[in-house]
Amino acid sequence: MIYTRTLVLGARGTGKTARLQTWAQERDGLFVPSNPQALMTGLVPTVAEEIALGVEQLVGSRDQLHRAVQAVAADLGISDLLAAHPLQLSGGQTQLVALAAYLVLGQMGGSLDGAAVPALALDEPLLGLDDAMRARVLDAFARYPADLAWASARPQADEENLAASVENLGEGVSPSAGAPSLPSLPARAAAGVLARDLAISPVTPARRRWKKPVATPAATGINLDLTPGDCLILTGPNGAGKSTLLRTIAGLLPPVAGQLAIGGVQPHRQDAPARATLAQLVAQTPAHHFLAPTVDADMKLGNGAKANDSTREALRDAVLPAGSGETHPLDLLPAEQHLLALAEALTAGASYLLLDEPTAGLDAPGLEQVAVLIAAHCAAGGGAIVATHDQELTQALAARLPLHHYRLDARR
Amino acid sequence: MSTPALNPRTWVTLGCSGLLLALAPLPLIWQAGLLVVLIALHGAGRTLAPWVRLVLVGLAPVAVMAFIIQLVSRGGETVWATWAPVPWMVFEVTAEGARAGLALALQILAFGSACALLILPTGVAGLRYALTTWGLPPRLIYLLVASLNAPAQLVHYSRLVRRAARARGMADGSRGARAWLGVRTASALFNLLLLDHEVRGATLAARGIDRAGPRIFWQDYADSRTQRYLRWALLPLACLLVLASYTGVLL
Repeated sequence: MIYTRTLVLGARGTGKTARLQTWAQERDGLFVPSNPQALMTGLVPTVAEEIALGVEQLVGSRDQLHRAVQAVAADLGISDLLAAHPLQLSGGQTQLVALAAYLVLGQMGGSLDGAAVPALALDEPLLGLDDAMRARVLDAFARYPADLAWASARPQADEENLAASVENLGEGVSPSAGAPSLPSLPARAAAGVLARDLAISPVTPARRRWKKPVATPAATGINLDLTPGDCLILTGPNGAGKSTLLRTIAGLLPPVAGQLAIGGVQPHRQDAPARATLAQLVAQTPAHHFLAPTVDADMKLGNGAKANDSTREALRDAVLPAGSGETHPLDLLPAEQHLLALAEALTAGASYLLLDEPTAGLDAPGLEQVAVLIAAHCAAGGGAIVATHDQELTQALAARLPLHHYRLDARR
Repeated sequence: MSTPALNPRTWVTLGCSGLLLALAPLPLIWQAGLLVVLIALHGAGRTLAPWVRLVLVGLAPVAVMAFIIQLVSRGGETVWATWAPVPWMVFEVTAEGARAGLALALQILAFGSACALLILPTGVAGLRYALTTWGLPPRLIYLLVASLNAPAQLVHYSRLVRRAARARGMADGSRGARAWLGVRTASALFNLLLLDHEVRGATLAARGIDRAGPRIFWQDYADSRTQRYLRWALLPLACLLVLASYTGVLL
């Protein structure tokens, strides 16, 4: 039997999510939102149980349940994560587990008492995945024994090859058509990043002395030497520790071993405002970045308060539609949230920008905006470290400024 | 995670029996015994550390306050001390007050320990297994386990928000600054929690969390004939003890 594979594409604001929901309703299928963190139920202690949760009633035996979960985990390359806690995964790993929790339904072909395996409509399912994982996910999509649709703001060739039909929802309304009119950014304090034999861990050592610090390094032997104005592209497979490295450089985690300095000082030993002056981290999930009820108020938080009003407003207007100042940040489109988080980091005026997958879910104009903003920051004497799997972003940045590359390999 | 030695249904039965007894007017020595047994059960379930955090640290101040109030305000025949800060306000520390205060404090700690027994040794997954096996309505089970899981979720989201605040350079150097930061970011925390919860609720419904019918769980929880007998015997035994305490047989 032939199942359809539908790719829904379109720029921001064209209604890809609504189209997917309708698509799923038409087929009595399931819509999978683009929020892997929220898809983790928190009701179970392991990834295996998280994946099994949706098929507990569809299997005839525990063996069958185990086989189904192990099969989908093997398909997606996450067998080594089955015993891990679902809330302690990296961004990419969380995405894979969220996908596995739905794709496991495809293993239930003979167990549904005559009912069909449900069609799946997935909203941006490939965000934050490295090339290898992306290929595995697309393979799993190809094998899924029911209709399947997914949305992509910037589909790659492999996605288009898999799709039997493409629904193009158009270019939408770009809020700032053409090149964004950026203000000239104030000069950044010159500071370089120096790391020698750095070992990092996502586990914060216990504060109390009687507690033994448990900090197994996620990566070791990291050496970096960046000067003001440098832009480093940080790559590596999902779970290699890219986000942990960014958080360590931001001073939010102490190094497990080795030396780390920005502008000659150890970031984790600084107080919060001084730390954010050295390096400003923009997390992978922009929703986890906003802390105030309006865009304008959020831009004034932390070191953003030190920027003058005209810089703040100019940066806001460069990335958001006019009149967004009083909007709640979480009411913005996901792509706009990414851009706002980046604009806020620029407003704060740190020497180094630390960006974790800044183009996830962004359309082509959005990606250009990110590249322009990063280039403007580097032109103002700042540096940037960008953790990304997005080749297009790397190319867009390479067209604007010299790049350094660093690959973080997974410890297995 | 190691498989617990007792089946989650046994833990839940032990917790329910403990709850029944904690609410009964047991004699002082029985209440002390109950608390010791509950603590020993937490020891056996390797949940003493979370018991200390949740029950002892959380409820000890309440128990101490209850004890002090009973001690000085209950009155009685055996007066140990009298204190009158103003002529119309006389506090008497009495033996009867001390006994009543001790009973109330023990009752509070036993109640907390029994509640903790329902969730700590089994975890949310074990509790879901136990309640599903007993055939409770799936929606009720989901509500129960999600409610019990709410504090853990709150901690998770609060960590995310705190991390964002630290990344953005919001002052967190002192205890006071951290408390003020908590106040400033409370609305962001609840927005995030509620938005994610909305998505989570919809996807859990799509994955059939509230669908009635038998389920096969990932983990195989060990059971034994002894545990089955124990489960049958424990609740009636607890009910008998409660009846005995109300009728004065235990006095």
